[in-house]
Amino acid sequence: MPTDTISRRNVLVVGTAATITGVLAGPALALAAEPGGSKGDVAILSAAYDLESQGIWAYGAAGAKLTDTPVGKTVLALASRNKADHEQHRTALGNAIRSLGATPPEPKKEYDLSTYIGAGEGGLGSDADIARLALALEVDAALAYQGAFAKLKNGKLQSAAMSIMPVEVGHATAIRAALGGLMKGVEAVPTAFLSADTRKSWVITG
Amino acid sequence: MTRTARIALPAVVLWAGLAMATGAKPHPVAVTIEAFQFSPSELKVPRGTTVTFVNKDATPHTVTPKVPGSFQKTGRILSGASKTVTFDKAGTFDYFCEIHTTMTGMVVVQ
Repeated sequence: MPTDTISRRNVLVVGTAATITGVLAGPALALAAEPGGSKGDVAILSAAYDLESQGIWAYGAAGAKLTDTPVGKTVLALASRNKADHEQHRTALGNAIRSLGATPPEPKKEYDLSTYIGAGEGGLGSDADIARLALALEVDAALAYQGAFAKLKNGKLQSAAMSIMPVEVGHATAIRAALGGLMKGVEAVPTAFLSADTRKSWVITG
Repeated sequence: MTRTARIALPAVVLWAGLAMATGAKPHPVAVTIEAFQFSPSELKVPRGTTVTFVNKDATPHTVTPKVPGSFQKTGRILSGASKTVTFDKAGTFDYFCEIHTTMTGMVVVQ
């Protein structure tokens, strides 16, 4: 079992993701939070805010189910790192929503992930299942932001919000890199493009 | 209300009147899912109308009734795909996306 290899790779990838987040997400979005949005912008940002809440909840709930094995610890390290990024995203999105005169949606006590589990895109039964579930959520967050943020009418807000999207891809790549140490044929970056057409290549079904 | 909704709503109501007058089968109606929004988000249709929900986003969505069982939930609608719901009973049917819970819509069946 190449546990040491997984851990070293994990540390490297997580470190890179952390750097990307630190440089782009927080300050950029704070600068862009100016008046000039629309109902559509608020709807997009509110959905993104809720998606970040979902991610924070999912990493917290899943983290409690991870085992104390080397694999579990590796996934937990990723989960903690990613959760911290989502918390920063949510804060920045909340500020942007308030700057448009709206109120961010209240985070829910729990979120329904049954559509993912039902589609075989991860679960809570094992450390690897939890990682696959997190992967599907991260890939869909990236895809959702890719399409929706492009439709924001406030230009400054759009370019700043777009800085969140690469970090979601970074999270997905980090999870795939970790899973690559556990499963054969899992590449960190499986395709040259990330789109609805290639989603199947990024998400790992069981 | 979005521009699409402003156009679609009167058209649907006008058509509903014609359908009732002639006894014709209700005409199908489409709701687009794009940028985390249902459009039109409010729809008035006659009983028996089939509503097609078309997902133009890159990520999956669902159309799920707020009151469980009030209509058949769609399950996942993948990017580029569509699913239909037929509204046979009169009433107001609020719905949302299970994955993105801020996304909401309403179908009023007359």
